[in-house]
Amino acid sequence: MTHPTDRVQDEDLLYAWSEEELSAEEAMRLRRMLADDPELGRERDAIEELRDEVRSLPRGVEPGRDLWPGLKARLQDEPRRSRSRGRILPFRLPAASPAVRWATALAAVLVMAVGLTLALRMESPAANPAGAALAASEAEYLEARREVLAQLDEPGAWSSEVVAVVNANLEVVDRSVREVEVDLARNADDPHLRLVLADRYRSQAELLRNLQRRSAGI
Amino acid sequence: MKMKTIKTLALICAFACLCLYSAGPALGETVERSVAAAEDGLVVVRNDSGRLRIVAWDQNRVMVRGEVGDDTRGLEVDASERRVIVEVKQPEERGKGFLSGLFPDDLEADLEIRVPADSRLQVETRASDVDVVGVTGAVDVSTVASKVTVEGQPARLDLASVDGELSFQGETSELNAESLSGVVRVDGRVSGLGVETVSGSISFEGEVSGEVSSLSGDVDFSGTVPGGQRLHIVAHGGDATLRLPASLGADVRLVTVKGSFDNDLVPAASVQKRGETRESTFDLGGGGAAIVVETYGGDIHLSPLDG
Repeated sequence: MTHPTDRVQDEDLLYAWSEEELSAEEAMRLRRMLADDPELGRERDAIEELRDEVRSLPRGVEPGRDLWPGLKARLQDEPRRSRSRGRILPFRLPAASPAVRWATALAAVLVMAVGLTLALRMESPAANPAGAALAASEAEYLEARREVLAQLDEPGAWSSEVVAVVNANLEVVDRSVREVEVDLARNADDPHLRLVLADRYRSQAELLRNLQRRSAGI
Repeated sequence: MKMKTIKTLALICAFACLCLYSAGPALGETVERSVAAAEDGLVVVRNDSGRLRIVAWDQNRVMVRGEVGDDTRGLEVDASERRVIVEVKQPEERGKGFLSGLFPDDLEADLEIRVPADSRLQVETRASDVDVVGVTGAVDVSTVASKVTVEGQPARLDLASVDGELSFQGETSELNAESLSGVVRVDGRVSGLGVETVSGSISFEGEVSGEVSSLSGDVDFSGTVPGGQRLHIVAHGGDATLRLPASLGADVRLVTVKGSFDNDLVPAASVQKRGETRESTFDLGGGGAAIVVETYGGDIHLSPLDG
């Protein structure tokens, strides 16, 4: 019999899979569990089906820039710093079907995307080259961040001390960027804040990439 | 032999072993190699941990001597016409033994390496402290958690570390130093300075130009900027402190969002506010060099160098 706690952990693993953030070891464990547990398999199928349906829906609100890559990367990275690994939201939802949980999470993401768009008052990239440049810098930073975290996940690649240092510094970057984002949302007309944000994204992306490249061979 | 005597002897032996172990890692293998090298060839040094001292000399040879840990796979020196690779080979697996936690592998190497002065030097190490002295070719050091010190006049210098202090003393036309949390120190004359850290502080003095940036560390500069050159300092969350000589001619621009200005150089300099941003521009000695200092939450302090 599956213990309720095990069931929750299994579902966490499944949601981590749906976010494509499983390590090779976790993916193997999930494959074994799916082979042994038909109920878990049905949950996976339900998630896949709903995801396909959501993808086929027209996008009613078209933000000025595609915020999804950034939001997705942040949502993927967030669990690494908390204990709720693999969960889309930073709190546990009450017992509900996987479909409802998945739909709720997606709705939350869409609300956040629209809210952030309105807050930042982004215009279309064509009409607002500065906004497009900012979005490009942000995407570049998030990609570099994701690569570093992926490297940290490689077994034995880094000592626990180094992992702690890297994570602590990523939090410093996140805090700094968040501070500017909040100020920019309040003062969208301040060109300096926009420049600062773009510069921080760009410089931190470059720093992470360079350090990753140079430490790869060590 | 009585049982009591045997027990006593066993205890003495165990105590002796413990004393030997706690006295420090066992002495490794002593090594000494010497190979011919091009005057301006590439010298690559790879080592996991320990200490590397690399010193330029006037001979066209690379000489390595020191000790390597018993649990390494030894020292390899591979020489070709234009390249010498010095590498302390590491075992495929580490710390797999039953008592690996109690008796860690002896993987350290303590090496002194002599290289031709004009060599291009490339050092890769995880945790070896590195000293480089007198090399005049390009020097490149990549580490994870080491203290790196370079002295002399390298043609250019590239330093990268996740969590180690990076120091340079001397003169070079280009210096790039990158670190997540390591402190960066520069003392000398650098015409193309590029320093970037996340949480490490940056301290530099001398005659410099270039770009220096720390996200949460403090930035401290004492010195001068050559006429026509530019120095751009960014300390996002940390403070920026500049001590400038009275003789310096420079156009200065200070920008902050949430920090404050503490300008003892030109106390009467005006401050403009645009949105959340405050900016102060003024010139020193009629201008010449350009100095831009930006913070977000940190304060900006300016004072006379001799004051």
